[in-house]
Amino acid sequence: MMAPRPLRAFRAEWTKLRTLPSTGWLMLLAIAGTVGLGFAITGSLEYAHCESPCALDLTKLSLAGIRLGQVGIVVLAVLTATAEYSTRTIQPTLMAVPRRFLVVLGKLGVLAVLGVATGVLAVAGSLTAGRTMLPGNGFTVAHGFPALSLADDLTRRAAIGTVLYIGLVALLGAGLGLLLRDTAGALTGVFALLYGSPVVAMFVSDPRWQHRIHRFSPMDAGLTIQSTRNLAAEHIGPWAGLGVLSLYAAAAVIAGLIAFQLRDAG
Amino acid sequence: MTARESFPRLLLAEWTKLRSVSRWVITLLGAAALTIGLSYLAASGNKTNINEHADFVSGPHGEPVADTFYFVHQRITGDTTLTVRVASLTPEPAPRAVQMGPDQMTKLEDPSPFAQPAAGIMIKDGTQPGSSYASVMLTAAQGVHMQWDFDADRKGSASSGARWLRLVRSGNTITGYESADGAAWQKIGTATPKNLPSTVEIGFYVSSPAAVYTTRGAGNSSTGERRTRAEAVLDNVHLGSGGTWHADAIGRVMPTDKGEVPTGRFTEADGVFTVSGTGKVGPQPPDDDMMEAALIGVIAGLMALIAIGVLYATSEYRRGMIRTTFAATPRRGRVLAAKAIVLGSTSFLVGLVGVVGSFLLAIPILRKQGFTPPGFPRPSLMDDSVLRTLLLTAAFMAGVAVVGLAIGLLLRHSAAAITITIVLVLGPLIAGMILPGTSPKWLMYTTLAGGMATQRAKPPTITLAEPWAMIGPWAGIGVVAAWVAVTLGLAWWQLRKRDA
Repeated sequence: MMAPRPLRAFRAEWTKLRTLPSTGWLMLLAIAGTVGLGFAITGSLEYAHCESPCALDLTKLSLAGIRLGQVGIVVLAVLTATAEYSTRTIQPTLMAVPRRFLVVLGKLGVLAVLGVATGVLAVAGSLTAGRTMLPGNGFTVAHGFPALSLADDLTRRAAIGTVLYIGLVALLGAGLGLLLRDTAGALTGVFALLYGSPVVAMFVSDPRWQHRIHRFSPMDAGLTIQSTRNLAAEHIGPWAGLGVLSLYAAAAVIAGLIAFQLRDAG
Repeated sequence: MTARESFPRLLLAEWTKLRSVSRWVITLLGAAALTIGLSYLAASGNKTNINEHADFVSGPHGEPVADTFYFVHQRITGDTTLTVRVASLTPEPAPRAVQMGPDQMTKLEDPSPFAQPAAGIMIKDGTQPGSSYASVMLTAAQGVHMQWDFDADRKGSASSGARWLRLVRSGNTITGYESADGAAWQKIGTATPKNLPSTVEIGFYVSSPAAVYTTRGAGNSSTGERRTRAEAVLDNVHLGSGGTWHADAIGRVMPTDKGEVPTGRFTEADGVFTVSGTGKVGPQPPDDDMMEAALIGVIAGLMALIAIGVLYATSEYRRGMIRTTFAATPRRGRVLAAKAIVLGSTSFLVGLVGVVGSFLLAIPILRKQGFTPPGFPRPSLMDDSVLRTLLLTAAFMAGVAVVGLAIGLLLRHSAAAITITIVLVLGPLIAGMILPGTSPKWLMYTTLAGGMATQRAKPPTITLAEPWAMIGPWAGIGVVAAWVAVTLGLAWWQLRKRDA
């Protein structure tokens, strides 16, 4: 008995990605980058060097490695969408599954699963590293820093939010890849979108403008969910920030989908 | 055909490859358009009100200056000579690190000769802060100097002990001398201050600049000052005509946290004057950099140029064109040189169009938002610092594109090469924003991100949040040049070694 069509499309895309050696390497890069940078940050923090009252946001700092680790997922997502064009396998793909919507759905589904899996491993690794390193550096219960734990509501929100962030970044990359059908263009676009706006914010001296840029830049807004302290100082609410990133991802996916439906397979 | 004839042909061939891909031409034009567009849009995000600050003082040329010191003086008309022996100068030591509010701050060392504790003699156009002056002084650590009008400085001897100083006014010129014994005099320099009426204030003074403390990191920077005081003993005071000495604290001194305003004092006993004072006499430009604020879009243009640089290399491999290329020119090093020259000069021109366009469009916007004289003199395309900034920034953009080319040749993979090059530029900037203190300086000295320093027209400072402000523009372009040389060298070595 044949499985229903969407499932078959999903399985086909899964086979494609699974059998590419780069997929595993890119996921590993994402996990290693996130955990490695998080480890470097938490390892270099010392309670003794923190001025009292020490108000470091340890959850946020432990998870900060995602800013580097996301590079692996972005490349994976863009390649998933564009590689079929440079190798011309897009034509057999569309012959096998003529309903293009299903092809895209399959690709996005596989990417979302891989992205979330990578995110879970990266977040778990980062929090474990933080949990292991921080008490040794003086961040103990006696000093008002209980060990990082998912039992804490805010830390759990930060962990889940970071996983969702990675999934959304993957969708953003895939959408832009489908729209541009060009690896170089899509990668440049996604990186400029993610990393460009914080750099522009550094140039800008007017606080109102800095506020606006941080609010509407996909990385800064999306990662607000990692904050567990002094939330009032953030430029946007945690879920609203993830919402901003979702808007970017949705816009990219919808534009990519429309372009994919309307264009010839080149 | 000789090699000499064939290299221009090779250049032409590579140029044809670059210009005949319409997508690349559009991207190149887009790089310039993105640079100009983002600079234009983001310029409205910068605002300043420095010209409205209460303690803002402008010098005789209209430039922002500091003019605070303790002056013991009298009024003299016409030509005159003042001689003084500075018997001793005792600066107040400032700790290297202090606690200010919640922040641990480190002292910022300022090597400028205008920022040293000093005792000396001065001729000044009245006691109004910012008025013209000429002075000869003994500094605490940099020997004897002659200075005038807040920007001119002549170095005298490096002596640190007691020193005789002399100022001679003759018409509109003032000459400064120094001596070890009051008998044998050496000339230091001749000054013609901008405004020198026939009646001037003449006398001796003590200044001691506030110690500046800074902290930065986590995307923020803050600066604090702690006033210091110096004390000097002066004797053998000789002025052509004797009058009574008046003592005045020149300039506005901000009160300390305890509310006191210790401006200085002086006592006289048998011709020996003990004077203490606080303050600084010299240029005081704001840290904010108008050129940098006008060139925000460079970061966007840079992304597009990286993509072009990488694709210019990897597309040869994707379509197997590299075999044809090497069949036509078997000497691979020459192909690499031709590619680098064509890409580098094209990107330089694109970058130049981008930065000059940004300059022309963004400066008028900035001027509307408070970036006006005297705090911010109007920049002109003919200024040395403006020209240097524009040319070096265009060179930075070209250099990064060539690094993209070299990494593309090394990896033969567009996605990997683009990702690595972009992370090399942007990664250290993000990390540098978060890292505390001066630690990002080393990231700037070692990664492509250091090239961002080319966008600054002002001297390096650690008082700003942006990490690239810590290194100078020439250091920045040097880092980029080193990356170009190393990556091109590696690419050349690989090209010779590997199959096409």
